[in-house]
Amino acid sequence: MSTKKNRTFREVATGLGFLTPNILGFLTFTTIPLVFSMIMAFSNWDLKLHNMFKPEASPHFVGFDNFQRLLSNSDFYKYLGNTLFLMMNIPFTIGGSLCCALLLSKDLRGGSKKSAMMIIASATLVASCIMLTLIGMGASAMTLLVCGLGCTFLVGGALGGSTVYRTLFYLPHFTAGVATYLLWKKLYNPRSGPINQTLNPILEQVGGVINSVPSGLIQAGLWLAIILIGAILFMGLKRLNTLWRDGDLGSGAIVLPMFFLMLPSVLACQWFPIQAARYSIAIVGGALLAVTLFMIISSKQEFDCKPSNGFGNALMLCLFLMVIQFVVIGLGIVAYKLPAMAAFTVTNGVSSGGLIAPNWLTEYHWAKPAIMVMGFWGAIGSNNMLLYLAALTNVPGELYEAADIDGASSFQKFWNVTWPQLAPTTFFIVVMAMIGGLQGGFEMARTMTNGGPAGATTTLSFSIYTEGFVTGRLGYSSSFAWVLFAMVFSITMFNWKFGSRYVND
Amino acid sequence: MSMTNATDVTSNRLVPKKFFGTWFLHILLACMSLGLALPFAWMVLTSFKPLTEVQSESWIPTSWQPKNYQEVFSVVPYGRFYCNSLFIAAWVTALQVTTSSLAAFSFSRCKWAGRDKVFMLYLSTMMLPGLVMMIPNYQIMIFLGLVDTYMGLILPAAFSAFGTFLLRQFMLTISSSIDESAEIDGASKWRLFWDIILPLCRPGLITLTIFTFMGNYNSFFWPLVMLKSQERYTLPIGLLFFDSTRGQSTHLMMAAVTMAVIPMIFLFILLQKYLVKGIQMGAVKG
Amino acid sequence: MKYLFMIMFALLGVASIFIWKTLPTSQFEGTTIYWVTDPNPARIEQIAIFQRWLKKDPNRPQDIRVLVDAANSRKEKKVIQGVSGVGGDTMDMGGGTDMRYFNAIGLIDPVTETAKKLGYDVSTTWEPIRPLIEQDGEQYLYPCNVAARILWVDYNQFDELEVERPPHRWDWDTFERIGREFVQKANVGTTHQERFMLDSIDTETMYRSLGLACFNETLTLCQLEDPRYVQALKKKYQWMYEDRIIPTAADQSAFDVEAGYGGPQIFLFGQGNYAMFGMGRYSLIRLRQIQQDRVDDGKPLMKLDVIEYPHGGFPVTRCNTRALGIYKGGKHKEKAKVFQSYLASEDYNMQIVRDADALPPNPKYTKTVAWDKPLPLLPSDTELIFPYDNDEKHLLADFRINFYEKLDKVDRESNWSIQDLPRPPKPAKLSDTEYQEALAKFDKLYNDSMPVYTSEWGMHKRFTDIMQNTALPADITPYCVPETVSMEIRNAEDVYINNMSTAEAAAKRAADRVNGEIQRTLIENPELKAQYDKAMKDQKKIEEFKKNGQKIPASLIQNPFYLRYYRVKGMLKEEE
Repeated sequence: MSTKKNRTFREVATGLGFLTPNILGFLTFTTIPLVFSMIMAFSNWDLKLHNMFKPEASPHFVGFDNFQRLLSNSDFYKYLGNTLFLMMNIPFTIGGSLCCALLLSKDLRGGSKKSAMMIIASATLVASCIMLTLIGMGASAMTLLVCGLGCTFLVGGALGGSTVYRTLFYLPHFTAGVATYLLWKKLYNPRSGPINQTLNPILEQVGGVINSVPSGLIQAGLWLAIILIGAILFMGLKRLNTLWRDGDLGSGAIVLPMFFLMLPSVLACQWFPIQAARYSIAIVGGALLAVTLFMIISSKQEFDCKPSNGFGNALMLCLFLMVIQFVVIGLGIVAYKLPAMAAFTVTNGVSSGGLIAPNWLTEYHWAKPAIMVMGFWGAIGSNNMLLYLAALTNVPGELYEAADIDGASSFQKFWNVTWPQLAPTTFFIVVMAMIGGLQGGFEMARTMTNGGPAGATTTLSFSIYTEGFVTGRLGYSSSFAWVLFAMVFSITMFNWKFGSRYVND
Repeated sequence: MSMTNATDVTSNRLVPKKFFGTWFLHILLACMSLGLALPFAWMVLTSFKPLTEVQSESWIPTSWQPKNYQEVFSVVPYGRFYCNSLFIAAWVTALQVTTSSLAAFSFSRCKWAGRDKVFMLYLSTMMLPGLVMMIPNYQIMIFLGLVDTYMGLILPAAFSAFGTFLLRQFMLTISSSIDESAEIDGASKWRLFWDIILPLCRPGLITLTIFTFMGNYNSFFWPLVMLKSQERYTLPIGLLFFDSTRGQSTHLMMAAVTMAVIPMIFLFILLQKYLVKGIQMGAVKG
Repeated sequence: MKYLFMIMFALLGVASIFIWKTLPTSQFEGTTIYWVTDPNPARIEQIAIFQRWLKKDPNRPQDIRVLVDAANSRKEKKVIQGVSGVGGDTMDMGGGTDMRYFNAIGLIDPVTETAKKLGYDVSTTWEPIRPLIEQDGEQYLYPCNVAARILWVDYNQFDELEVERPPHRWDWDTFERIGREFVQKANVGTTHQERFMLDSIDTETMYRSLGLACFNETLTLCQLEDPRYVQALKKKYQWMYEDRIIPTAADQSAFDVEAGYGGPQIFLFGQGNYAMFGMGRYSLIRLRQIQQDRVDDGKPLMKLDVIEYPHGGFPVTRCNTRALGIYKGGKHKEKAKVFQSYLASEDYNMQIVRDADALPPNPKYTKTVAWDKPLPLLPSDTELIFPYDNDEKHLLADFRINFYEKLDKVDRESNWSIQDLPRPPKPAKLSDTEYQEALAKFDKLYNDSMPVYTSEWGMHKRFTDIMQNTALPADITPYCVPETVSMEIRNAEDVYINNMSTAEAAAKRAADRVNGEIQRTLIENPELKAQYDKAMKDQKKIEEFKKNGQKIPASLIQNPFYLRYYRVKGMLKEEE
């Protein structure tokens, strides 16, 4: 008996022994600050009032004052909105990563006759490009550069297989942080940046075309958008209805996904520039919703299930559709406004206007999309892609064989074999991306935009920083950070609770 | 089709060959790489331009100016920043890999009461915004007298929950029968750790090494508030010197950024094989 | 594996020793003072002059070394390091806003007594900037330089288009008339407007010239919810979007160029995109380079002058200062104050005068001939012409100081020549003949830049005029963090300019938010509340006086703007 006790003791001791180095550091640099910051969040600590030069004043507890003030502050919701807006590129980055991984997982090893031919062909191209560039071809040097670069990659890919592409895709990730932001700040420069230098000539042409066709034709884009949204809603609601009927989706779990699905059309009722469009979207959305609700209420589930069943699955689908709807709405509005933007106006004898590329980082409505594009570039080939790659190689080959025997098309194979197999990875990536998205934006704002224009790129974390270090309200800033933590925590728990069920399905 | 291409079973064959073919695939991939690499190309080419040409529409410098790279070193002590960044990132990585692997071993292969609860606590701290702990951590640094020292940068980053999590997941994939046979052979836990588990974890260790190294090589805010003396500055802070309101010199900045990226690329090319393998074997099956 | 780890740590150990050994160590025995400031090359010369100034008087401590710390000049860093006890000994800060903030935190040491003793009290600097360096009767800072915003104008651009030249003082109507004519004539036949009359104008200058300040007389209330502010906003909008006299933000960033010192405006001004731009005297540093380039290219010089901002009845402009404060937690505060007192010395002031880095802190030195009739600085190529070895560098430094000392005293009217001044000493590398050649080259370079400087003669006294008569600092309330005020106002104006609200709503938003912020600060800080209540009583009295049409006693007024405004309008009861 005593030996057993001894043994347990020894096991615990060894276990703790291994843990000691880490736990010491963890206590000092994580736990203590954590507790400290928790206390701060309930205090009125303000650098201006309480610091080493004012020993007589000491901060005191103020209960939930900080939280109350925070939650009643309209700026908080604005910054939360900004953060969520910037997070809308998550589905795209994840989709992009998945595409990259799918392509890279193909067997690309060279060595066959075909690839030898390709190498020779491409190398000739590269050589001719280099030669022409050296001789100096003026404006066409740019085209040569792009072609040459593309061909070089082709040669590299043919020689080195997927390793080369993988490294190339991973490139943006190397410049993570400040370097990326500085680079993109330069790329977005309205005058000397390459983005606008490329866009402006194109837009000039486009502007000419737009000016030459009747404006109504272009503005019809708005109506096309409404039709598209109707189609998306129809698909989404139908899917929800089917899921519900088949018992894959509980009655309780249908509410929130449906809300997110309908949200864009509700907001579009405010955003659309003309009355008729607002009414149409309201009618289309309302009618579809009404029909679906009627079908749900009037019929009965064919298979019984728990009310919370299938929540994660449906939510993810609806969030994805929501983001797509937002994009469609945005494009529709742009189409409506395009003729006015492309038209030339003459004021005070000076003509201005025409279609010109936006000043990405300094215009209120463009700053956020600009940041999102940058985020997409940085995230598409990053660790997410590697995670997907790893997961793809783990998919058992027999599953594909079985699918082949069933005569499944490649899309069916993807949808029925690959996608479910990738579910745990997707789940992990989504959770990490959401955590990162909620906490992110600080370094970007600090180096690129300083939170502007008019607060358009101020995210929650940047505002924690300004509250804490610029205005000096450490207590308030801490409470801010804890609210952010609460959000991240609840999202993660939420995902874990519902998402893991989806994963196990 | 599957009958004829028996060798192809390893690849997932989502995209049938008859349509996509290797040629098409290669061209598609090259185009995508091009899209991702163009900003890079611009950066590298701009770094060779004279200042007067930075604005010009042509990406190719009319006169190549490699002395930009030299100039970077004369404008700021860039070499010093370089060494500092590499040095700090290397230390952090070494410490983190060591402490995390020890802790992961404890969490995965030792049995002690409350183990899983402590682990959950570890995990939940990953969700905390780093900014929450910024101010208290700074106070601790003052208390320990570590403001403006290398130690002040290395220590707080050296103990991470993420590393522990990653390696624990990895170690869990290693069959526990190894432990038993080791125990029968009379090996201590210590021997088990060094001689059996760690070598088996090599891909995981390498994955963690790359993640940690990259993260710390690029870390910005903590060094920014912690450091005071210029000779201890790290690369990301050094880059800001080229973005000040006075005297923007895009060509030098791009040269500096290009140089900052090079070690990362080397690291990745060297270790990428293990990286994918590491991710593949463990980690994400939470 | 074990060995791998061991090797790894051994390597890191070696690296640590290497890094540690290569840390620059100082052999300096005396006191090192850190000067947290911007990375301006002129700081090096200013420090060199400081060392020499120390030696001039044996009573001054000799063992001080000043090191520039340009890496920590961002405000957040100063605050974080300051409250942690590791701030720089002396810190540059924007006067006024920064001072009040730093002072609220308690970071800066009051220097009233020392300043009197060492001769750099507030009376030795410009009167308008006093509110920026003192608070409640205590002096905290001493200016490194002082600037008033004025408009730089290139008359050539107007003459070429046969547009009337802008007068030295003008009202909004004149501005609008000339502006419209200029923009119309300057942009004939272009699709995108490339030329504007003025780079930008801030609303503060505009509403102040209508007799409205951001805060009321006792600084207790933000009063921007006022028809005059709305008028200023609308006027600005009109000038930008309708008259196109001033570029919009989009126009501006479409211009975005590689900005050198002072920002892109100067560059665009030199290029003819703007006919005038608003900035302090320090723009001369760049303007002189642009003028010099024109001389080198054989192009005519710009016909430069400085004029006032257009006004809506009460001409006013904003002045500011970059001032030096002493860190309260510093270890060498007394010696740091010696360095502070150097800023009031002739040696330092004359350097500012020469360099055109805004106005010198001490107005006395604007009455010198060197101020009124500047002579060329040493050519920037001097070091290339005379290749000194590293151990000879001090020769050049000494020469520079001697040269400028003599240059400041040269009688401009006499027949002097560069050869009468100290000559660069001979570098060991050069032979005698090479040295003579170098000297000749040096003389030629120097004389070539003469027209650039003589074209400025007579212009500089306008800076003194504007500084003394129309410049006023921003009104800063003690009841709210200045950054918050400027941020809220900027946001409100952004919202209006972006067509997301009316001017009236923007004005209301700005005032409401700032006043809300004031109330919040008062709740947080009971000490301020007492002060505020007292000020509110004064404010009531002022309202009473105003209602009865009586003159207002100066002692009640805290806001420097209203002090000047009421004095000019004859509404102020001066006290003896």
